[in-house]
Amino acid sequence: MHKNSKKLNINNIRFILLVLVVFSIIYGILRGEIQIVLRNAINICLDCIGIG
Amino acid sequence: MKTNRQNDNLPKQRKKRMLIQAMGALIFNGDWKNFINGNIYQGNLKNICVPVLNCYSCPGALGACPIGSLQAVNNSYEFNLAFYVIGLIALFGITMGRWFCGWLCPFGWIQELLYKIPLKKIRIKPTIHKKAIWLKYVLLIVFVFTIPIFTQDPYGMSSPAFCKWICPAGTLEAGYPLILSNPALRQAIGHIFNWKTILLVITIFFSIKIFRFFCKYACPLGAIYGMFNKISFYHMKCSSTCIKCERCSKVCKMQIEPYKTPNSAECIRCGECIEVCPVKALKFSFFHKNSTLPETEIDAHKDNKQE
Ligand code: SF4
Ligand code: SF4
Repeated sequence: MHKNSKKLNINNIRFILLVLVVFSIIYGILRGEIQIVLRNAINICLDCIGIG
Repeated sequence: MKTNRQNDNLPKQRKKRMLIQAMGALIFNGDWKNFINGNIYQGNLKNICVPVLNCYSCPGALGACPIGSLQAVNNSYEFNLAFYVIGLIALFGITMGRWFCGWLCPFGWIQELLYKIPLKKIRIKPTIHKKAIWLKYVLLIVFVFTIPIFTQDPYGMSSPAFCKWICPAGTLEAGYPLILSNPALRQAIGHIFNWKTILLVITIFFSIKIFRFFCKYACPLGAIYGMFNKISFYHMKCSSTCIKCERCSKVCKMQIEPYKTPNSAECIRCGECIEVCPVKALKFSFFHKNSTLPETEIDAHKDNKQE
């Protein structure tokens, strides 16, 4: 394998991932996922404690 | 001389980490009065996922558990994939990788306290260990994604399979405190609770014998963060001053060879290997100056191929 092909540009990967992640969070918030997170987190989750 | 001084730092490092872990557990579960009145915190902080495995039905929990939330959105009537939660977990992973496991996770801390119980310890054979670590990825794919997304009833609902059938953190942090303080819940105990109690007892037993048994082999959040360890901002480097004395490998309770794979998916960033290195070859840093994977990672791949 050519030596340069091993040189993975890690900063570029991180930058691309960061942008994707920020978009993913914003998209999730805009379509209302945060309400579902809250709804589940503020009610006792019977499944989590093994009763559901 | 130098070596002794560096080994002296190890107990200090352990103490410091224990203290931060204890503070993390107290802060993430800061609504203490609920432990007495048998209820849970219901404020707006629960919009946000904490970066660690901490059941949101734990009476004191101030934030949402990322793994619980992931399943809650995946199995909801409204949506099939949790972009907000996946994004948050990935954000935590890209910045710090498994540092959260080593320094903040309450369930990781509980396992370390159990490991302090002076009973004979087990170090799983490397050949078995290397296979067993994949179990957490299987649990992640099957119980956190596949079952919640693909087994919905006609109303579009399904169960949070990992929470329901497996998570010992939920049983310990939420199940028992709520059942002890809430008589109505006590009456509702059934066979699932008994099954989860058996899993909890197994987890506790093996956590006494094996360092971070659950984190190594079963935690889906650890599996996700582990995938980020190679590319996270916070990472470990091994410089060319390494003399391959293998002290770092011997001290590492996560069974890693840090001088070969400093950014292994199993590394919880505890920093103990750094403290014992006689030539200070290992160190943590935030930015990859040369924009490439650290040389030792490449060397490690070579080594692995040659084996
Ligand atoms: S592997 Fe899971 S339980 Fe262990 S420290 Fe990380 S998040 Fe916590
Ligand atoms: S490689 Fe070092 S920092 Fe990572 S878990 Fe092992 S001892 Fe801790």
